[in-house]
Amino acid sequence: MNRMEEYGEELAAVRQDGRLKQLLRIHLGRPDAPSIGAEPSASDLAPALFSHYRGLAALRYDYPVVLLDHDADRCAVPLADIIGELIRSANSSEPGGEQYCRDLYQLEANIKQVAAKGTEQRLSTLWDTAARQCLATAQDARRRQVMRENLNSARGAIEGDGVIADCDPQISRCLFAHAGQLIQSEQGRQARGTLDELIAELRAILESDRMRSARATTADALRTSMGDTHAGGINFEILSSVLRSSQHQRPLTVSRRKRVRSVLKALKTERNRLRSQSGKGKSPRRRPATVTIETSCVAALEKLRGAVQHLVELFRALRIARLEVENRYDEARHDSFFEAFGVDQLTPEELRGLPPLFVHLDTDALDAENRTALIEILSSDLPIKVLVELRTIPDGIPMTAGPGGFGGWGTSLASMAVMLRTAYVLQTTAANLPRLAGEIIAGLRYEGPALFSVYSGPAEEHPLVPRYLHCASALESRVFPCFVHDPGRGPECAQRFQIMGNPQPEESWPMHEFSYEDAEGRAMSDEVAFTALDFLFMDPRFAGQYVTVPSDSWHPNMVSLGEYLSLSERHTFGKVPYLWTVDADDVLRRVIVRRGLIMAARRCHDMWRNLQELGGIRNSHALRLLEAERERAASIRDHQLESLETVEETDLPRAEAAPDTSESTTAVNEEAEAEALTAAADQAYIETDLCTSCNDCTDRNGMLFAYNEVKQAYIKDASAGTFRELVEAAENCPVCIIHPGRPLNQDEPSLDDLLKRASAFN
Amino acid sequence: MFNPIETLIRSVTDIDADPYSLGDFLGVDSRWCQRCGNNAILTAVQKLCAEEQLAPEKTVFVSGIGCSSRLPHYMGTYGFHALHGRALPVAEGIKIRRPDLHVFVTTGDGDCCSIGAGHWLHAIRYNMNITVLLHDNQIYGLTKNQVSPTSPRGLVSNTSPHGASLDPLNPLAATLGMSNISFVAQAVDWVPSVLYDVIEQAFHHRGLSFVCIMQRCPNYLPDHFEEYIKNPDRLVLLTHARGLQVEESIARRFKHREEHDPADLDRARELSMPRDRIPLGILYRNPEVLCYEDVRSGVEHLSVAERMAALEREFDKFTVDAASPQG
Ligand SMILES: Cc1ncc(C[n+]2csc(CCOP(=O)(O)OP(=O)(O)O)c2C)c(N)n1
Ligand code: SF4
Ligand SMILES: [Mg+2]
Repeated sequence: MNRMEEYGEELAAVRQDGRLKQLLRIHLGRPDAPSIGAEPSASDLAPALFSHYRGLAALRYDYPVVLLDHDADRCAVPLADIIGELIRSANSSEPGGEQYCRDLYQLEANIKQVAAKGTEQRLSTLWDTAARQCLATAQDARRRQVMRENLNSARGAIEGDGVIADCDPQISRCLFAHAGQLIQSEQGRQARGTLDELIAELRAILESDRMRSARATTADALRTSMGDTHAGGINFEILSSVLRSSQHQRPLTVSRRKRVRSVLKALKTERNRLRSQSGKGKSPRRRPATVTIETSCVAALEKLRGAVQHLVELFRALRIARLEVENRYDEARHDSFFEAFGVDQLTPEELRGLPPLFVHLDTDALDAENRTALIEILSSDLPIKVLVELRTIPDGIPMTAGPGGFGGWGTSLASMAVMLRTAYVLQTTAANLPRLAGEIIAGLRYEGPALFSVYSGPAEEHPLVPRYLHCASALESRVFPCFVHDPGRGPECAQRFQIMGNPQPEESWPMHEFSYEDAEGRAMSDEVAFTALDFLFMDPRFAGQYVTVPSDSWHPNMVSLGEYLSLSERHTFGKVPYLWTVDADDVLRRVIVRRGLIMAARRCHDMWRNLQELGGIRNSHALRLLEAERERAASIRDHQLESLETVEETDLPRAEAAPDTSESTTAVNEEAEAEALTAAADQAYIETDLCTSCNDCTDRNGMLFAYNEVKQAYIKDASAGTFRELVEAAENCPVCIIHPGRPLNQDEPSLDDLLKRASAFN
Repeated sequence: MFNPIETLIRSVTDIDADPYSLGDFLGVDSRWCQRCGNNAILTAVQKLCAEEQLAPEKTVFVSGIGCSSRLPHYMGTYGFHALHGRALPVAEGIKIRRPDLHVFVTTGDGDCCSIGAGHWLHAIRYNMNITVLLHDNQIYGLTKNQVSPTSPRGLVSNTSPHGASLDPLNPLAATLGMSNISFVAQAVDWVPSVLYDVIEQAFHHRGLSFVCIMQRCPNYLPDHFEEYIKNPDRLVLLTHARGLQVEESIARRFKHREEHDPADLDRARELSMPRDRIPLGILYRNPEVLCYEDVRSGVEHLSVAERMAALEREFDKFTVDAASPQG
């Protein structure tokens, strides 16, 4: 069938509709496209759904964010959350409560203004500056006093402090470094705790040796250690001789002392290194040293190889220390082992103890060598944490080939890394970094490699769309969706993989209610999808792909992008997709989208669909299984109904009785058992399990009665004693578990009497 | 949370180290009388140490004064033979400073329920992770046949020639009446497998586990426990999926058995009250009770200089500034 036949009437209708033909020509990008439309200038138009966010500065959202010191679990908290928390915990219904809220909101707005200028200042400093500004605006002295009290009390209630950061080009790196530094000091602290403990125990070994030494027990040494208080009352010469004669004089061997000392030195060096790296304690004044961030994967790998050697030395010392502390170091066995100790002796867990290394890469600056190294890292076990930043999407498209898709190296990197299985992977945009700070921390705590692929927007901000909004729209439009792959959560995809932080994850595109006034001033409302093409509209590289059409050229066959993309190819015939946009004066415009971009949007949707499946949303395997199960259940139900009907008519079949052999078997067994019992009854025995270890029998005759390995008695050798001993032991056993049996020696005196007495225990 | 170095050191490869055997836990030879029930308890704890592979240098037995309190001497571990009645506070001191040690307390009915009664109640309430074994022979053995708080009424002894005039104190019921109890059990020295199982569970419980053990003193009370030994019907064995699970060969000896859920405090209290039959097994267990050492850990590895500096800082808070008006 040819097209003519297939589309028949539709084609004929289009051919007759001149206006529609013109629009279609524009959409198809035909050279003979009419000039009714104009290429929109991105600087004065934006997707209509953006109109709500025009005044971003006045809205409360996740930026600026406070990078809190010291607490990895709260490493980045939006300023709005901090203020919100202060307001929630104050009682706004109390007198003055409302004023308190207003003062805080005013302060928040002032802080934001300063933060937006990109000054890297701490919350406490900015707070004070902003508070002064607020106070300057107070109408009178009384109002100023109240405001001062409000702001002061709020400031006192804030927990923690840290640098304030806005959604600027540095934010990803800044947060990465901050989280890295927290993790580094957290791990350092834990390691130091272990080291401190071992150091204290090794010191105790040396100290107790010293206390026993001749030097420490001279009269003078004792006098000095006791002080003047006892000067008259104690004769230190005598005390010294008593101590020297009564103490076990077992000094450490020279080799052991040497070993303990050398290990102690190694551990102390390591502890000092960690101390200098992570700062001491949680003192708010002392800020820990910042982490080193590499800018090349090749260099990071190189550095890690060096660290392994250090690790070997450290673990050698740690293992020896542990053995020494537990008093299990055996020179005969361990000397040679530690002599030959090398990388091969490290356990996988030990290798994972390598301190993490941090790498920051820009996709633009990624050469072939680094790409290879990155893949090597991501498929290894090494704790290298890589932040890859994307600044343009689609990245690296060959513009000559036209805008075909989103499959650039950068955009696909995270999905590829998931397939490698070993790496922790987080893909997100700068906009929702504050919400995902916990995931970044999880990635850094993960014992293997981690990749954080973050889209943070071009260096130059769009004149109408602030960076935050731009990044948020990359996420919203499914161009750069967010997902996490955490191998630490389990082996299965359902445990490891989550698409999180994406708006309306069930939908193909997020849908929004959009209200506007039409030309006649009537209130209208529409469901509008936010698609990949809303995002691309802001990118000057694609300006040629959008054409604004004046309202007098609109046609009923124009369909909104969301609707158009939901149609199958077949049903798009004769339809013209358009995007709602608004200009600087809030006037709505329809912008026709060229055909090439539609393909790009479909590709983008395809990739999103794939993520949905991985994340368990309408998973095709599951759906198929579900369908099969449904069918099975239905057929079982039918079958049961059928058989119920037949059962009513027939009797249930009776089970035929199997010949029962169990009875005869039991009889044979019992006979054999009885025989064995009589034979055994002649022999003396003890119910060992019930022995209370009271020593009575074993003290009577240690050859006849003995303890087993858990100190319970048994007859060791019946011929090693007399029948009389057996009988007397039986009579004295507190729990009556000794059975004397029959005498081995028939010539033993008074056997008759003994046999009679024994019968009570046999 | 992943602590790299800690996990690593635990995995130290020392494959060919010999495991501990019961022999590693023998101390000096016991001086208890022949047939004394203390011997059974000693064997049970030695066996436990070997089975659990407790490092002898990481294990400490603390006692007060009495025959029973001599047990630490007979162990190949560390020990502390403290003052009469003071085993528990000493053990608590050890535990708070060295939570890494396995701390056991062996104490007599005189040591625990008479002179040490105050410490007993508070130790229960503090619920530190310690295993307490009360050797209840219902007599002061070491001081040669003197009446004890748990002696039955009418018992004739050197200090009660006309027979004990008071009803005995019931250690089980008293303990079950305290607050913060977390593990209460009873055993008898002459059924070694049950004794062992009870002590084993007590050891694994995190918190203070109080095990009351009826212990024979054949020297001064030769026939005292005979009725229970000869007639197991006087005992009732408590079993439960969450309590003791006893092999059928042992269980068969007990005519009376009861499925008792150790979470059921009310029933535990009923069972502990004087009746014809005494309960054997785990009466009560609650792993949720907070351990004192977890809330108030005393361990910090500071150098002397660091310790001094910390003290100075604390003292400075109380410095009275002569110039200030409040001063
Ligand atoms: C402060 C103090 N008071 C009294 C004594 C004397 N004394 C030694 S042991 C003991 C009683 C021990 O009885 P128990 O705890 O039941 O131990 P048993 O010997 O029965 O195992 C007494 C009163 C003492 N040693 N110290
Ligand atoms: S006096 Fe009693 S408790 Fe003490 S050792 Fe002898 S039998 Fe055991
Ligand atoms: Mg006693």
